Formats: sequence, structure tokens, C-alpha cells
Amino acid sequence: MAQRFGGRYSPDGADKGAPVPDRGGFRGARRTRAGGRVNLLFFAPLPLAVRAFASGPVELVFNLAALGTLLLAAWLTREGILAQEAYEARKIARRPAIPRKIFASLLTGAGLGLAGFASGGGLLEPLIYATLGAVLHSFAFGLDPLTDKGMEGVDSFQSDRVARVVDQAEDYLRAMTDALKRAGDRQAETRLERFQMTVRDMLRTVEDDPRDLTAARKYLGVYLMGARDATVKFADLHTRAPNPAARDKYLALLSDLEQNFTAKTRALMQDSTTDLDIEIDVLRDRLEREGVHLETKDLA
Amino acid sequence: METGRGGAMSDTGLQKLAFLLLVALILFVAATGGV
Repeated sequence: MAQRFGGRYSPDGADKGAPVPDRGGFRGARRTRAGGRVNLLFFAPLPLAVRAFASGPVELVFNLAALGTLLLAAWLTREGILAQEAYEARKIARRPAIPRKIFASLLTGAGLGLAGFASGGGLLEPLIYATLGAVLHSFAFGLDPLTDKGMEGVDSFQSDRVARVVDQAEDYLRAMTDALKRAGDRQAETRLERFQMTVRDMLRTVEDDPRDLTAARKYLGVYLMGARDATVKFADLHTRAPNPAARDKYLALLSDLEQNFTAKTRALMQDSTTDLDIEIDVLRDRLEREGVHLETKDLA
Repeated sequence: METGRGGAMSDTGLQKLAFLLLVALILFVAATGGV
């Protein structure tokens, strides 16, 4: 009997019941900005180390202090950029506890001032360098995020709980990655990355709607802790004596967990869709009452 | 230099310029002592 041509790679030919396509470990990944540009800040003040030893002891101390201050500023800049990226990646986030980039701007100014003072001895030139350095640094890297994000309209108790659970879950995920690195099993690492993506999907869902936390708590707490413990045990075992049976069992566990997490996330999202439907219905009723008639096709 | 949004220079352009000036300033002060 004739059969329609089709297959995995044909349009509309996706065979039913096919396994979920591998989404790749880089979905949603972004290049960090704490790279090349910031690294230059570590190299630029190095001539101070040479100058320090070309003159008397007082200049030596000032130059070395200036070098240390500028290197510290460069390090703080990098940390500040990483903190800001973590802040931007989340939907609900507190502002960083230490405004690292602002401190870095001030320290850059201080370092340049010290370096200028070491050789000149006057006060005006170092002051000019300090001000210029601090202003340029704040222009180049911006200020730290100074306000909490995503906390509007949500009571702080709820969002605190969500933030705590998300932090804890991220800790578990990091511990799993670290443990598996010891095992040196590339395939298991890729598998774990996929599982972690599923968990992060759930985290974003919970951040979107903190009411989901109660339902997801068991998953993000107990199950994830269990997964971490299993990963650590597997890594220990695999480092000492690789055991294919244990490895298969571990990979099967990851698959089971991933399926459960995906199903739960889908259920949580379903709840959110119900909420949206209710909002739309309520708004429609109101508009009807006000005498505004909506064409349904406009909404479709 | 990049321009955008009707301004003379975009935000990123300004940031890049500020960064280059900052590195130049640090190099100058570190190498010569600023004199």
C-alpha cells in the first residue's frame, strides 16, 4: 500500500513517539563579558612594577601600593561583571550585597592617584588622574545594579523563599558538576548538563510564579539533594574502579529524574495557563459590561 | 564609531571609547609616572 514519504528530516514528517530531541548544552548560554577587555586592566598597570625598583624606597612603596590597588580594582571589576550577569540571568534577584564595580571605579582612581603622587610629589596632578580614572572606569563598565529586581508586587517573604530555594538548587547543581568532573566521564557530563537544563527550566518557572514553590519544593530540595548525593557516590566509585553497571544505573537515574522534572514543570506551566485564561475571561466580561464588544478573531 | 538612536554616539560606543581612554591613562601613568 502506498505510504506518504516522510521521515525524521522531512517537513511535517516528525514520527510520533520519537524521543525528545537533544536540545544541546548551550541553549540559552551567553558569552560572558568578563573576558578580554577586563583582562587588559590586569596588564596595563604592570609597568609600575618595573618603575618601583628604579628609584628610592619611598617611591617603591607608593608604586607597589598603586600597582596592588589597580590590580585589586581590575579583579573587582571582573567580579562585578560576573555578579551583574548572574543578576541579569534571573527573573527575581536581589541587588549585589557589595557594589563591586563602584568600588573598582574608586580603587582605580586611588591607584592612579598613588602612582601619580609617587613620581611627582604634588597634589594637583594625582588628584586629576584619580578623578579622571574613576570617571572613565564608571563610564566604561557602568554601575552595579542598585535595585532588587522582580520584587514588585510580590511580598518579600515569598520572593525571599524563592530566592533561597533557587540559590540552594544552584548549589546542588554546581556540586554535581564538580563531582562529575573528578570522574572524567565525558558522556555522563553531557547527560548531566541536559538534566541541569531541565532543572533550570523549573527554577525559571518557579521564579515566574512564586506560588508554584510549594508544589516544586520537594523537587528542588529533596530530589535534587538525592541526585547530588548519587552523583558524588558515582564519581567516587568511578574514580576508584570504573564500573559499567553502576554507570548505566546512574545514567538511568538521571533520565528518570529528567522525565519527572520535565513533567512537573509542564504541570506548573499548565497552572499558569489556567491563570491566564481566567485573566482573559475576566477582562472580556468587564469589557462586555462596559459595552465594548470584542471581535474574537482579533484575539486569535 | 557606532551611532544609534539618533544620538551622536551609541552607549556601547561611548563605553568602548571610555575603556580605551582608561587603559591609555593607566599605561601612561604607570609607565611615566604622569610627568
